[in-house]
Amino acid sequence: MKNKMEIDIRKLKEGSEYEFEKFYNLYINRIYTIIYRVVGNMADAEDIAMDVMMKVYDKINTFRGDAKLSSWVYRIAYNHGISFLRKGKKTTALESVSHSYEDKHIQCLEKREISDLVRSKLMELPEKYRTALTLYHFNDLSYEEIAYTMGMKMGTVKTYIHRGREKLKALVGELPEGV
Amino acid sequence: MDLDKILDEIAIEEAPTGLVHRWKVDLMARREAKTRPILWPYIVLPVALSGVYIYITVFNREWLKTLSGVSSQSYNYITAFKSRVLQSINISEFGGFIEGTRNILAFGLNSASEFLSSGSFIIWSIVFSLAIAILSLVWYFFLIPDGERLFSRI
Repeated sequence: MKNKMEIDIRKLKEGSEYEFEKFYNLYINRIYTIIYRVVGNMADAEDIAMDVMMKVYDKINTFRGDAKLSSWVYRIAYNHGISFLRKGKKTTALESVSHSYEDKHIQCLEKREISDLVRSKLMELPEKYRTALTLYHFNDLSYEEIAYTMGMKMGTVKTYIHRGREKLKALVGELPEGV
Repeated sequence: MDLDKILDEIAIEEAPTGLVHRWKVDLMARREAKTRPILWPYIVLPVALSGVYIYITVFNREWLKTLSGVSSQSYNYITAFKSRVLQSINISEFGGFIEGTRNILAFGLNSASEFLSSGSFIIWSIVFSLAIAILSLVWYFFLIPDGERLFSRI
């Protein structure tokens, strides 16, 4: 049975409004996440996500199908985020979920609080590490697709993910068991 | 607790809900822009054509001579064409109808050849081009495009 959320690329290229609506619903959070992880600022991530959606809308006819549609879209999103950083619009301070966990012992935190802590610590990692880790934890992205998205070699991606995870572990500290 | 498991859960951020509305508004504007007819040729072409005529008549007399040559050639061609046409329908048995048609054709062809050979041909061409250019500008700026308000382009 065909997945209801599967995007019909042919219809997308024909400009079907229904298909674009589906596309939007399926990808907006993912696109937003990638950009947010790259630029580290929610307001900028919103603007860039809009630009990316518009670019996809305008350029969908140039999608040749060499890669998966998702990889193509993620790559556009990643490149937009990177070019935003390169234009010198680099955010001065990375936003993170408001918290005051530093004072609290990690073993006493609730599950939701731990997630918030990890999220905030993730944003403290260098851009490439946090983007690689984010893409890795998207369910449908392989190393190869991450490499395509970030325009890097697969080995480099694996290194980033490995180092990113190590750094994140060091930042978060020992996680409690059975939360 | 496994860090990977936590990362799996937080990998996707929720985009702000306002983005949906913003996307739809932006998309509608983009679609409208794409479907809007291309208007610039209606202004650029007549202005450019008038410019060429003005350049030829005011600044480049050599070209004017060439144009006059073309004009007199056209006159010769039309005159020859006229004689041939009029000869071919010179049949008396059809009576007044043929005669009337012949007269109308003769008048049309005579007028055309006279107009082409006269100096006013170039002047009228310039006037006509400028008139089209002005009308195009008026149409572009003052008529209501796609339900937009008057003067909306200014």
